[in-house]
Amino acid sequence: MANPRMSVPLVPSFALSAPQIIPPNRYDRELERDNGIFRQIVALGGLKTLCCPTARNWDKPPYLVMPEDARQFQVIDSIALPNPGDPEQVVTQMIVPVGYAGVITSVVNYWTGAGFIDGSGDLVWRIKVGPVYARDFGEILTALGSLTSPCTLFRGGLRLRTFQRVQYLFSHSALSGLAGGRIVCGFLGWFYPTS
Amino acid sequence: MLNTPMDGFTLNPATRYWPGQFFPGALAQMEILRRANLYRPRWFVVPDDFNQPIPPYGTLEYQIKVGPASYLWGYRFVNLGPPPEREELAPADIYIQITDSCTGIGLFSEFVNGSASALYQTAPQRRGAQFPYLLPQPRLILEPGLVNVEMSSTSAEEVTCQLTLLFAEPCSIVDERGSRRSI
Repeated sequence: MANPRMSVPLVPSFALSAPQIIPPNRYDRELERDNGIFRQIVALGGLKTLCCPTARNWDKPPYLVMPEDARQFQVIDSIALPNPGDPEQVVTQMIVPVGYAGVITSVVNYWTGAGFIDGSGDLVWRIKVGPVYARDFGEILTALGSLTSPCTLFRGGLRLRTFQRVQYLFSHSALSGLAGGRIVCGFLGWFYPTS
Repeated sequence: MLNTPMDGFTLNPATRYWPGQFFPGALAQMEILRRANLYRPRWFVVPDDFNQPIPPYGTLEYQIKVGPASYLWGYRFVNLGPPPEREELAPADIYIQITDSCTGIGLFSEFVNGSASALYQTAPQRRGAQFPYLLPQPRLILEPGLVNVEMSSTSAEEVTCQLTLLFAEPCSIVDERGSRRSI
């Protein structure tokens, strides 16, 4: 996949008998000028710096270390265990407030009943961020954490953008023999202002 | 008067230069790129191994490296069924995001559904759509020339698909003595 700036043959295939060098034309120079403008923008700090001069500069990444003006969240909810084979259900959800970004640092999902074997596929949880499932959280086959000791997501957690919808979904396999109890899901983390 | 650039767009009789239509408008934005001497087309396929399916509810992350100062000008997407037929399927369960690594700015504000860039056309109003999908304006990719692609599946089945990214890549000049120089 390596692709260095290649030296190309400036000889068209149909002109092998009369090789010629194709010189740059004025359109190449226009593109080079365009390229120069963007290189200058990058040298001045990039589009984000130039276009968003009021954006905050953080000492430490705000998704790793909670800033002083961040707002914590702890969104926890539960539903009764659906019947086996029922459609997927939303257990809990939230929307990132406008003007804030966020990070989920811990999650929790479990069933209050007895008899569930982790990884059996009887109970499946998913975390959806925007229209897609979060990476590695598209099919959670095990219980994660508890309300007193949630499952911590290391190395930055799940980052969220402003006005993004986050959902904790649950589905009960049609082959499951489990009944009763409640499904508990929750997100913990913080929102931080983007400007 | 300028000569018409001789390329696939000019030679495609399906291209209709109707006013107020997106395709000829986007093509007009590519005029300088089409006329430049020192840019050549280069297409990247993601994933490059066709037998690398996206797992159920999974995300495929991919990074491609193009020459700095390349332009991304178009893309197309296809979702295919199991072998041997490899019949084309509706790509409604696939979401795509393309991000320029230099600026960190995505091509789309959020993951976009695969249907927005696929060849699969069953609805009568979509027949006759022009391919590939052109960007409203070619997107310059600067140093280090890295483009991140994420393809996320919401399907319960494995999905085999391919995204083709169409670039114009700059060439350096080699003069008669064999030494390189910039434009």
